[in-house]
Amino acid sequence: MNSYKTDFPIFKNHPQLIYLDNAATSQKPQSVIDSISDYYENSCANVHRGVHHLSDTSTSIFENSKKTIANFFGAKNKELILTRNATEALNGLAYGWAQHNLKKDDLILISIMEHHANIVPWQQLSKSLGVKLGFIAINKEGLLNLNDLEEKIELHGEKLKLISIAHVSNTLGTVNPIEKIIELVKKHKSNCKISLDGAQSAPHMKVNFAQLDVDFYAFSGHKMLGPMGVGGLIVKSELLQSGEMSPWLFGGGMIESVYQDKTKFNEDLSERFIAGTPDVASVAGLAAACQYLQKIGMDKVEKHDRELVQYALEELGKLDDVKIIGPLDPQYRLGSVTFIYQGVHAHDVAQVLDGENVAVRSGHHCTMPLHVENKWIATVRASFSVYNDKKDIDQLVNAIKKIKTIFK
Amino acid sequence: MSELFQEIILDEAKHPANYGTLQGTDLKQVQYNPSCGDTIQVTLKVNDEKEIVENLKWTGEGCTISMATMSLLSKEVIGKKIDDVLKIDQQVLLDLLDLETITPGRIKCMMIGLRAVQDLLANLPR
Repeated sequence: MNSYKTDFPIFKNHPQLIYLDNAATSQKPQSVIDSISDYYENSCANVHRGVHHLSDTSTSIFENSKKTIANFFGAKNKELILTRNATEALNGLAYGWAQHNLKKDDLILISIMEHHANIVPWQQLSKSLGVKLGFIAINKEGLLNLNDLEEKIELHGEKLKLISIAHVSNTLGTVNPIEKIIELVKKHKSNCKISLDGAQSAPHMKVNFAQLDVDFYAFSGHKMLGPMGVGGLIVKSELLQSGEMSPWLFGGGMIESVYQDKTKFNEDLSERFIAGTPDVASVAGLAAACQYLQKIGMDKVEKHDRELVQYALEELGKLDDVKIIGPLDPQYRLGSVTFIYQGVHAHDVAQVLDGENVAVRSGHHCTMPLHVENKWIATVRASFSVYNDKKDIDQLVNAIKKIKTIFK
Repeated sequence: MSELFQEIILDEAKHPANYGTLQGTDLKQVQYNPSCGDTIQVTLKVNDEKEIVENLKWTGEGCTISMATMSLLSKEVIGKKIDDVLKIDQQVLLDLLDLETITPGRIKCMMIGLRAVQDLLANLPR
């Protein structure tokens, strides 16, 4: 057994479980669960502005946790806006930034491999603002078509205001070449901003916001061993200081002063975006998850993940009825391997695998445009985390072999 | 799991009854399963008094459960009073499938065909 597995109580309670649905949500180590219950047992009080002792304790847990999370991503503390998840972060980008800075006929470019969370907010904005939404094509291997991107950057010039793209695709597993995208943007002197949907990169690779040199990075805590209900949008500090990125949720906490006819927002950038009582326990839990991952080392986490992806590609590739979706070359892939079992619907495949205690995801994984474009009705995805090992993939392969005995 | 993939369900999905498209009718509905992108298209004819389902054909792409259920449902519905078809619920479908229960994750698969049929009949211009 993988030594990390013992840190995760779910496997004590379900000893047979082979959990390969980590791209949907990961399991949580004991340290994360403990930090949440510890907060409620010992330190629960509302943050900020309380004068009493417990409020101070709660505030410092919140502030320190936030620092830990920002630090994990190589970002300044004030650059981190806490949200519920990556979806809310991308909505924040739409309503806190794009809404005020884009106008009719401006262009937002995304790719066909995007999660619905990086499509639907832009469609909504296009309805209200009249901005245009363009899709960067991908090639047959499931890699971003950089020629297509370059043509679009050239063609649209100053109208192009934002490229918002998955860092790692949740369906194809493709790791998108961010450096090359930035290079193209610079080559054509485009002033467009770049945003990364990091929901599937944060759990698997070292992310350093400063080094990435993008303007926005969205992530979900629950996919990176943290609790559900907390994630974040990291925003370049210049955009926050200039006010280009402004609050999109309003109320208590985020204000400096409120009068009957006007409100001044909080000067403190780290408070300006926290409207209402934050989920302190979950923020503490996410900080514990960051510490857990940092203790292993993100380089090691990525290496482990790459080994599993490569092994899964090899082993699944040996099965006649299995067609792998996305890049076959493991160097372009991270986190998951998605496939179609010829002649058997993805839900039926997942059901058979469940009977063998293997948990995978089936469906369109919130990437319906990608599925429609490729005429896939539904696909099956096996996705990995630190506690998975090659034996789990062997079990997956053995379970897949059972399908033939049922669907003759 | 083994119960779900019993012979009757596998057979029904493999050799679906009333598969196809009825010509000469405007009563047509395409239903999507939002959890996986499955689709079922139902065409049907009712008698002149709009009391009875005279004929029904369907096509679709989907999992064993959605296909088998729609096949069994089509046989159940043809010749039946519209008011009775509108009363069909989850339990009736489970009985048709000879299942005692179904996991929450598969309820939408089971219900997609019934939704198409009932939407069509509930919105008949009567």
